[in-house]
Amino acid sequence: MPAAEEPVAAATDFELLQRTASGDGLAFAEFVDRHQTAVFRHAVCLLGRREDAEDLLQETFLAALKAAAGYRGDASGRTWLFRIARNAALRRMEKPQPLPETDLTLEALAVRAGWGVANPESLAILADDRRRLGQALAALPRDEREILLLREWENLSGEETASLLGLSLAAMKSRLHRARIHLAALLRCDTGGRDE
Amino acid sequence: MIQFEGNQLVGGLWCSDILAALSQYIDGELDAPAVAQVNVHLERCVNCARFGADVSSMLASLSRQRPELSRERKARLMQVLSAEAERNRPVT
Ligand SMILES: [Zn+2]
Repeated sequence: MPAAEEPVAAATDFELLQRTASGDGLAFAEFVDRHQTAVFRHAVCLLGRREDAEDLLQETFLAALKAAAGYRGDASGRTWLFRIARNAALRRMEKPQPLPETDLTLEALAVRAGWGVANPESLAILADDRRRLGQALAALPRDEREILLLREWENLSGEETASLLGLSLAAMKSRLHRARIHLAALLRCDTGGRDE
Repeated sequence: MIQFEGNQLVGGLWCSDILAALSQYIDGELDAPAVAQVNVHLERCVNCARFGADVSSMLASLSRQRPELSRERKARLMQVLSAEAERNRPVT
């Protein structure tokens, strides 16, 4: 039996996962509660669609439950979960991304985003349209969406982001920059094909 | 290579230099002399000033729209996971 029930709220992620591995359901529930929103958002980053993200969220915690005994505490619990989610997401995305836009230079993207245009509509107003923003995010290449949202939604540091993605800090920054300009281009260029 | 026609040299920097450094500028990663040089360009170049502000406010809008999980979805997740944790409990 695990040691006498200690309050779970104060336990570290490492302690919670140790207790999970020995069958303590309360500890696992606390671990889930602590990280579910971040994992969900990360799943949205990876897959681009909310419905798929909900499936991935569940899959990630089921995998975490099985792997709890193997957690060594060298990454934060959140980063550990992000890795599990990422591996699961990469497995289910077998089709390569057909995106002609990835060939565009940064300057070409910036021109689409309104750079050098006299009176463009404000990007913030376009982004405030939830539906439009969702479409633009979904159209972003996965690696750019992932890096952008790790920074803007999870506030991961540059080092954490680079390490999670296996990139150098310089490569991470350059991809982040491109992702931002690319999102702006997609927000502005998304004009046709809307059914409302 | 697409270049927009208005690319101009202002304060020792081309508009294309400003574009290249925009994220570092927004994230506060440039050193003080570089920031000062960018600021000179931004004061005198309407295009770069507008574009920079526009990208910043787009990012602010993006971070305000972080998705949240509904209470119902959290409850459903917990139900599935508790059942699974129960099944996996080691026999003692
Ligand atoms: Zn300029």
